Amino acid sequence: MELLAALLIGLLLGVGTYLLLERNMIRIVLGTMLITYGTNLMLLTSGRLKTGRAPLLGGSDIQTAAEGGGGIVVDGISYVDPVPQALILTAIVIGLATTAFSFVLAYRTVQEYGTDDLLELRGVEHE
Amino acid sequence: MEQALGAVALPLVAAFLMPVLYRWLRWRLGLAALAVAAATFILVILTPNMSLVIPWVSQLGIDLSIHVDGWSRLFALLIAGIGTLVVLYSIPYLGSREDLGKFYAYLLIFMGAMLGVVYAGNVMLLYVFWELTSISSFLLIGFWNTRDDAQYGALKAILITFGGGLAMLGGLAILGTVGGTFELSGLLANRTELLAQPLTTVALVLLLIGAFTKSAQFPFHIWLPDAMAAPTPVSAYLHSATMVKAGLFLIGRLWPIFHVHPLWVPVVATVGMVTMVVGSFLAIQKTDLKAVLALSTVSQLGLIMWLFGLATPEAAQAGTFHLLNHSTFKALLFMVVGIVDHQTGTREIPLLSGLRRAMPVSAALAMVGAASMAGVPLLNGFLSKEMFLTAVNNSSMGLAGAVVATGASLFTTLYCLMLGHKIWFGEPGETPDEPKEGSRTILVPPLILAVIIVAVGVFPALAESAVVGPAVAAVLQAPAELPHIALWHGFTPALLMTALALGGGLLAYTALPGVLAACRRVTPQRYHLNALYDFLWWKNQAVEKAAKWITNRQMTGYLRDYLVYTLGATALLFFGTMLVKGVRIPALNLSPVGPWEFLLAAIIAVGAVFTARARTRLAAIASISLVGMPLSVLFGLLRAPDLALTQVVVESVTVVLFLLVFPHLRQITLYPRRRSTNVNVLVALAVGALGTVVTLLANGARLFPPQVAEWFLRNSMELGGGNNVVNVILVDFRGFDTMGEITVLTVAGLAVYMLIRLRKQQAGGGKS
Repeated sequence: MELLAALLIGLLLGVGTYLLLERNMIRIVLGTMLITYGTNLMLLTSGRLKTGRAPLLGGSDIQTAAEGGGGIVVDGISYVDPVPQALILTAIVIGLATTAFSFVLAYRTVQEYGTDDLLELRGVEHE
Repeated sequence: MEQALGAVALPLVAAFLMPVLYRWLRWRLGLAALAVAAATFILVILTPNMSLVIPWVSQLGIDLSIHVDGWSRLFALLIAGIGTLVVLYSIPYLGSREDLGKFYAYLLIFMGAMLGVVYAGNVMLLYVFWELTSISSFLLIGFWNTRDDAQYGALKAILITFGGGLAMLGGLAILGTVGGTFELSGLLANRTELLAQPLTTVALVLLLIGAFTKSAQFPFHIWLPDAMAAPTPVSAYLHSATMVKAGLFLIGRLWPIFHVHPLWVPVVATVGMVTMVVGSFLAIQKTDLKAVLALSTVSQLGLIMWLFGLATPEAAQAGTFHLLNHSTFKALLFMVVGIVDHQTGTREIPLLSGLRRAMPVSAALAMVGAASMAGVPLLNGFLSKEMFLTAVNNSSMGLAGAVVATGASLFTTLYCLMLGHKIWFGEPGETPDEPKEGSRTILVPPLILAVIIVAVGVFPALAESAVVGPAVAAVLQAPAELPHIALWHGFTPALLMTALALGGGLLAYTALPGVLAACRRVTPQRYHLNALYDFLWWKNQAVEKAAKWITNRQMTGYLRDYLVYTLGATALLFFGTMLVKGVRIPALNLSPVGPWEFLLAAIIAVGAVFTARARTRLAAIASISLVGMPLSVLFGLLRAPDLALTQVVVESVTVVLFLLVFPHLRQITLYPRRRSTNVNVLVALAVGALGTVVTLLANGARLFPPQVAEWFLRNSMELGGGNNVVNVILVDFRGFDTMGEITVLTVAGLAVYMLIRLRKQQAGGGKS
């Protein structure tokens, strides 16, 4: 699974970067979103995948079927690492905030300057 | 120790009060500044020899350490003493029309900084104060900041002295690294080991550049004449008596370490000698009194530099003594020239003559100063000049040195006669203002200096035991048998040289127009150092243009270019390091892939590719959801139920947001790329590969210590009262982090709101 995740992360980051290097503002925002997805998945993968139960204590028997091994063992039960999950949860919310902000910024830029072309929006030469 | 700290801190603190006090005190501000300067002078007198370390950035070996010895005391007395006289002089000189708050603030900053230079026991601390003196010098030269010459002079001074300061910082860093300490005492203790290191030579050259630029040595002397755009009290104080001697101070500090270095004598003595000759030669050709004084300062600084360059104890003694004497007579001359300028409205020598009738006291004072500089007996300049000639005579430079010294002294006599005779005697000339004697207040400071000049000239033993002797001992750092400074040395070769210089000068003075014409003929008019400076910085601004060109090449203002640099460099660095260090991806400890997970990954991949290919806004919404939604399910399958839930919510909100904003945006136009697409693809591939490799590397090495996760799992119920460990971490254990997160969300929300509101307001009030 980790190998698959790593390849997926590479794809998301690569496509995201490709979009980030564009001139069109919408495509740049889309690029940042893809990069956010990729990074979140990377964080999760760095804590190893499917090594135990979800970090919910006192789980029922249904969960037992989905157990793996090699996770954090507490009271004889293996759990997946909760720390990356906590970090990602924060990152998802912040990602939403930045996406919302970039979209409104793009919207306002188009309104003010009548273009969404970054090359056209360049500043003046340095004096 | 309180006195030393107080002497540095008092003027610096008082400086910041000056602009505030100016509102209440108006023209009386000068008196407040005088009180500060006088108090500083008293503190300096009370400061004993001492060493003290106050820890600061001890990890880097940089501490606020104070080291006061005879060498610092000599300088501190000059800084505070002449500083007090200059402040007194400036009160009538500047009058009440100028922005006095600014002036005294700068002047006191300089005083504190300069005392910091001479009291610093850590070379890095010395450097900080050193640059602070350059900054205050810049501000003071540019005090009349609307004048072109002030702007030109200030910029030139700061560029040259900062350039030298930068070299010096490099030298100090090398010295500190090689010597293992930035403490002066430590460096002095390790001097034999220091000299054995080859890098020390580099440090020496860099340090000398710092000292030469600050002390206006050839070929860096060109900033000093232009610094004369400053008000005359500043010229008297910074640009003759104290700041320009900071380079000599550094030379004196380095002397015990480096005077045995093979480069010391050839470089320092030669530069000093050339500076002395060039300075005096150019000085006589000037017609502006301050320009004459500036170049004579250059010449005299060269003389002192030459003496320290000779590396003999005898020469060091002569240099130290002349340094003291030069400060007295040159400050006096500047003050008198300032009075002449003030009272007649001009400083042009051809316009000035016969002033002695109208200004008898000024005339007498100027004659004392000029005679002392020329080396007339019974004045302090005579004594140190004699010692200089003797030291050169006895040095390895021998006869050649003696001839050069005598020749330069002849020119010195010539400009001293211009300062002390030409403008005062003869028929009164036409001046813009009717000349009259200066006020009593303005005459007091030069009078005090004249008294010192005569007193030291007649009773040199007093000056020797009080300041010169301890200063020389601190420079030598070793016991040496030195002759006492005496009024009469007998009929020596030096006396003959003095007589030659004085007599020759007098002779040349009688034929002055012819001599000047001859001198001007041999002085290059087109290809000189000022022309080079102007080409680089002023008229042609070659350096500025080059900098602008380079900046505009990289700073295109286009996001893509910056991202290519940053991401490309990151990828290169990463893969380069992997290659060089031979990093391999460790054996993977993989978990099984389920069919659902495989399917979801495939959908996400397709969604990502579609996003890149989307040409309409709707297609973009659909394809980005094709990434986000499956990802949330994948989170669920990967045992992260909270992430799955949050991602679903966020995904929905994003889609709503898209739909709200998209009607206002344009369709996705694919603008042609400005540079080649290949680079973009390459960078994108590199970043993607980076992501994959980093993930795999992280898989082998545990990024999060298992103890942390285990602690959270064990204590979530007991301490947080919750089954969902991730939730408990967020709202309980790391509650403050979440508060930060909420703050970010709030700020972003406010920003969004404001951006939209701004638009409405503008629309309502007529869009600009």
